[in-house]
Amino acid sequence: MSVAVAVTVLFWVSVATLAIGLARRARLWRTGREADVEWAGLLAVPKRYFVDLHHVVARDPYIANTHIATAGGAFAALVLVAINYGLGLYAPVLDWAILLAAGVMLTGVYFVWMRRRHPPLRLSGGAWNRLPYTLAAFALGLALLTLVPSQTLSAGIAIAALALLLAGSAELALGIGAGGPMKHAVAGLLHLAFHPRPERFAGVRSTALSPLKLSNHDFGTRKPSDFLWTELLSFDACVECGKCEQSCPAFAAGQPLNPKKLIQDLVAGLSGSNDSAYAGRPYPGIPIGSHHGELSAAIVPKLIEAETVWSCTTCRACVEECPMLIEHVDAIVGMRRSLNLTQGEVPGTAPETLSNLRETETQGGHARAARYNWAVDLDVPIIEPGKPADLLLVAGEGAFDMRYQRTLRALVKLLKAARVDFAVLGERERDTGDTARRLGDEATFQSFAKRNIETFASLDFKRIVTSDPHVLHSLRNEYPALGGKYTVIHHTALLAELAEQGKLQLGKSPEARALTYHDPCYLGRYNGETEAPRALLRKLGIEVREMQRSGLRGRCCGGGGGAPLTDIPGKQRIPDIRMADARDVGADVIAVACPQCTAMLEGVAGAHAEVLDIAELAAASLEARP
Amino acid sequence: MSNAFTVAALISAGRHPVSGAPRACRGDAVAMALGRRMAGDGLRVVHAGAAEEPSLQDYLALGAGTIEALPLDSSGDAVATLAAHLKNVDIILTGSNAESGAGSGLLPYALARALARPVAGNVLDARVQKTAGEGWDVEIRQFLPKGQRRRIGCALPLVIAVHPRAPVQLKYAYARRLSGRIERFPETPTDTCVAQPVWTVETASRRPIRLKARETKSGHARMQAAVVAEAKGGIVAFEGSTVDKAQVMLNYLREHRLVDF
Repeated sequence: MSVAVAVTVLFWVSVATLAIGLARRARLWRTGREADVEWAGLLAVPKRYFVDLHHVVARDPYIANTHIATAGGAFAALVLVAINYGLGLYAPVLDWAILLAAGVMLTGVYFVWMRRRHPPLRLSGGAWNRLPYTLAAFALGLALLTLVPSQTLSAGIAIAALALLLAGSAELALGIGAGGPMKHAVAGLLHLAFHPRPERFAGVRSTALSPLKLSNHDFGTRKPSDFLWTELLSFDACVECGKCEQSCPAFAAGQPLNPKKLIQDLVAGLSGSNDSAYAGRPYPGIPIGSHHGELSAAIVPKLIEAETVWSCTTCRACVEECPMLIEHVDAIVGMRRSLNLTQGEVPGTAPETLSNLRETETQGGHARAARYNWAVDLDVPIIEPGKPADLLLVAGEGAFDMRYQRTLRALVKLLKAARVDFAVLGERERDTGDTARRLGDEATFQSFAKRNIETFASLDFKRIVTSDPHVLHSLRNEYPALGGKYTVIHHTALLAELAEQGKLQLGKSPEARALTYHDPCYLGRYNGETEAPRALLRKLGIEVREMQRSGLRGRCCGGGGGAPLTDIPGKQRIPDIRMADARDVGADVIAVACPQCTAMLEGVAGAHAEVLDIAELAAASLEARP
Repeated sequence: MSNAFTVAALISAGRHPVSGAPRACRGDAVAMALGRRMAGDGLRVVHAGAAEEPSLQDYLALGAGTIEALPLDSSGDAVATLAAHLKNVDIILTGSNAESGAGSGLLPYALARALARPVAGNVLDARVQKTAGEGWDVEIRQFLPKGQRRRIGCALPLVIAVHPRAPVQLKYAYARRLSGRIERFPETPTDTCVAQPVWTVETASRRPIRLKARETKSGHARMQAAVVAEAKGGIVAFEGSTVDKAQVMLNYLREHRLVDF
């Protein structure tokens, strides 16, 4: 009886410790900025956990099953202990149930231990390595206490069991409040409830950046407490599994970015500590232990170096892989915004591009009238007020690139072959401001959006078609928040649709070489469009050899997020890695659907697969038609 | 840093060469950045012209802080207005050329003459240092062609025309654009009269450009051409009809990629 009472005491002491620790942690989270939260999110946690989160975790069945056993067993055991001992029921039946739960948990912990013996490089060690032991202690303690009848329990075994239980409870109760590894359980569940992008749980690919309220002097994230409190909470949810690190193109290229370390640095900033407790791989080239953060001190460069923030290509591969659904890219763009808007600190040639945008409304400093020079002999109609067209073709910055002009000419040829009623913007077209936004220049983006929305309002069209997924993303996903709502379609989707309706008679492609398709991040991950380009290629009679990383999990070409402009040095170039992916599947042609990908992959030095846009492949098939 | 000397940078309304959009004149922005490095927060930024000039916003974003806008009187004589306003300033920094107006690059010289000071042109860097006495002088690094540089020392006060390629980094920050101020000064009557250069404006005549075949010979061939005297190559088309002769010319133009059809 006295042992059972001791368990009751231990339970309530642990609950109190956890409550105090959580309150302290919550106070840290609440130093962040106010966020619009739906308290109903708390009710949605089970669905979000078992469906949305588990969908990501299940990509690695070993750890998914291990986690189900460990966490499921632990959760069941804790609930049962709360009922049986917390409420002082001491029912033997419940003891058997606790034993069962502890057994399940112990099985799970065994597999955790097994994995931690030879962990993959992406996993963090440090405090995480003690987890199998403390969790095993908890499960063993519970098992001993419930297995051995209390009458026959010797004092020695009782003390040993209680000591094990105490060690396990310390990890759970003390560890969570003190920021130990187990904080992921509580922070993770709360994060699911108060996720900064709740629409993700409704099946929406929520990828648009949120607009800054510049008139309120909101200039992004300078210090940790400038994050939304829900974002600070999300950083605590990180389990340091390193899936983000594994998928990060900048990390692979040896640029000083590691999304996992970035999130852990922000946790260090949240709790006012340095990064020496971090036990994973560092930012390439930047040693661990020399950075320190404070809640209300500037993040760059004391906590995170500027090169880290500027290495990101905003490809969202980390977000796609994160089992805890953390939003790394939002955090990075938030920090970029502060650097850009308050200090004008932007590396490489990005300042030149930004001033070109402000002064000429093009990225390259070109005359706006020159944007459609490539179409001068194609007799392409130019849209004007009072002259309606079904489709408005927006060429984007690629129109100034001589290589990409071939793609645009192919696209126009296809549109003409399909007898589509289309027109181009001509001199009225200005940049969408997408690159400025990724570089943190929210002011330029918003002013471009405002002017573009005015331009579009004066014109009469049904849909916008563009061959640039970056244009597509900003017009389709980011302009609505600023008042511009349009139906925007990518050229691959349009061509697939026209071919499907029979308006575009495609022949069999004369391309006989082995071909692979590279998914643009802004088309695939940002917009979920991976099928239309493949359908179009199938229509052309081309079989796609899929690279190992393709579709929603495709590898970035290195061209997004203004990364070619900030040009942070690494050990190799990202497009070289992507080209090696194509080589690995023996592809001689790499089909693309984006001007950035075209430029990046064309820029690979040495012999490489030929880069052809899907529009070029489709246009070539017109000539092959019987 | 408490300055015993005063520094002012002059800024003008810039225009982008392609789009004509108002912007900070690059040379003046560079001069302002150099002035910031010399004088820190003590730098005065002065614009002779309307306070409503849109390009002043760009200078605020580039860190002007407070811009003193001096309205020009009816004569539009910026030199006289500036000379009256800046006679107590030790170092006056200007760009080398304005992007709008005449853009003659004469302003620093005219201003120096009006204030009876020396002027240093094409300046890449300038540092103020204490002299043996209690005074100050400036050490200047000056741009010369073909990568040459010259170091000169000069006593205060003086006018410095900064070279557009002076090694400074321009940092455009939107927040500074919002926090910066433009201070309007009342129109000051000017008595100094500086002779204005007399310009006659005429439209540039457009001359045909002579197409020239690009030299595609190898190094060996060029060496041969230099050491061995031989007749210049080429075809003299005497034979055939006019169409044939035209075809010969067309072939030549195509071969040298002077036409693209």
